[in-house]
Amino acid sequence: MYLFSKTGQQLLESLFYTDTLFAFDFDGTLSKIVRNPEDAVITPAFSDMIQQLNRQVPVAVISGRSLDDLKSKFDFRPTYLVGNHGLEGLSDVVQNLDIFKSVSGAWKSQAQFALATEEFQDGGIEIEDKEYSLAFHYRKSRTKGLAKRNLLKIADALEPPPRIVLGKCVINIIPNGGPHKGMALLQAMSDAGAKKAFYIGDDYTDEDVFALPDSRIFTVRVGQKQDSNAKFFVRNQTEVGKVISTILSYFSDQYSKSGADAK
Amino acid sequence: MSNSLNDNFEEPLADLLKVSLVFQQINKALEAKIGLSLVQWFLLRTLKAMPAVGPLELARALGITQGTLSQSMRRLSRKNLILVCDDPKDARKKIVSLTRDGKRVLDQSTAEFKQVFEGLRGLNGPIAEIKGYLKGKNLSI
Repeated sequence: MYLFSKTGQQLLESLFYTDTLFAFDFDGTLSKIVRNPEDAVITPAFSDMIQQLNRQVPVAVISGRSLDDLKSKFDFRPTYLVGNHGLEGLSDVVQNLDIFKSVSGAWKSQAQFALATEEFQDGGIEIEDKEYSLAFHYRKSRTKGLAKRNLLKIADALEPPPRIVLGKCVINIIPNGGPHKGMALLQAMSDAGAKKAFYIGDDYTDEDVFALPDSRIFTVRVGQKQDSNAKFFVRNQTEVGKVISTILSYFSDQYSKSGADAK
Repeated sequence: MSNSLNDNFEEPLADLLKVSLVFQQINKALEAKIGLSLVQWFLLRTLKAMPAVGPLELARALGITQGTLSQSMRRLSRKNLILVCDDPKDARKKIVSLTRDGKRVLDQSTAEFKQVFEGLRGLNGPIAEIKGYLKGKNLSI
């Protein structure tokens, strides 16, 4: 359902009546997808709105980026900042960080070795080391389809076998047995004492939240996708700003009527 | 000659029944005055904490059957105090939420009920005891 339909807006507003945690993915949600991951920024307007929201209710940002990388994107500290797909940022969640670090290091060596061979060479492929997980980026490859197939071959051959989660021109290599974004959201909810959570994301990694069998979670996808488990969608990343400003309007008691005539 | 064993349960039971009858009278009077019965108030109050919930889960939280819930939902939906719509991922299911009007009416009626029932504050213990006792009798409360 389109979030800014009449019914969607009524349901969104009803979250305001109880203790709700508002959670956001980062890349593609709070910031636009960019060619170089290091160039991703949260605009001053978005940052200001999130900061305003954070003064009213607990806010969580749950990302696949490393926690240090994610922290560098904000000039304030949201209530919860969770990195590495849930591996970093919530103290109760992870007890095996040393093991994950060691495994991730081993994978990196294996992947670098494979990419050095003639079969898999591609100047547009980058391995991002996030300390406890890896990301194989192929956005800059001139043959993205081939790059993706090759990277999946490499990922399939890694030992020990990782959890492989596809993203937008990226393949995430995550330790098996570790938490995911969904678990991180549940932990943040519990910490915050929230009765309900709102979560918005744009990617396959967010399906770990969308697919949670928990009716307390209100799920929104950036961009409509028929096979997504998210119950609602907004059309694009620009509309995420409208989501946040709409939520803020409830707190200021100036109910926005701008979406009332939406389809 | 009175049977002292029977006296021990008959008097409290009679008192409990009287409480129930008085409660029903108060409920009718409040519904006439405010336009909302206590059961409806309880439903709205529960729904406020569980936005966009399925009816089965709401019925469980209220401790009533889905059939009973359906009747109350119809009345409240007609008054535009709740929204009932298709689950976006499964049109066979419904989800329910409090509307803006429902929130306003809930807040107003809670203020009214507080004036009537303020004295119940501090009686949680005895009421919990009665509830626990009756629950043990396989009555669904």
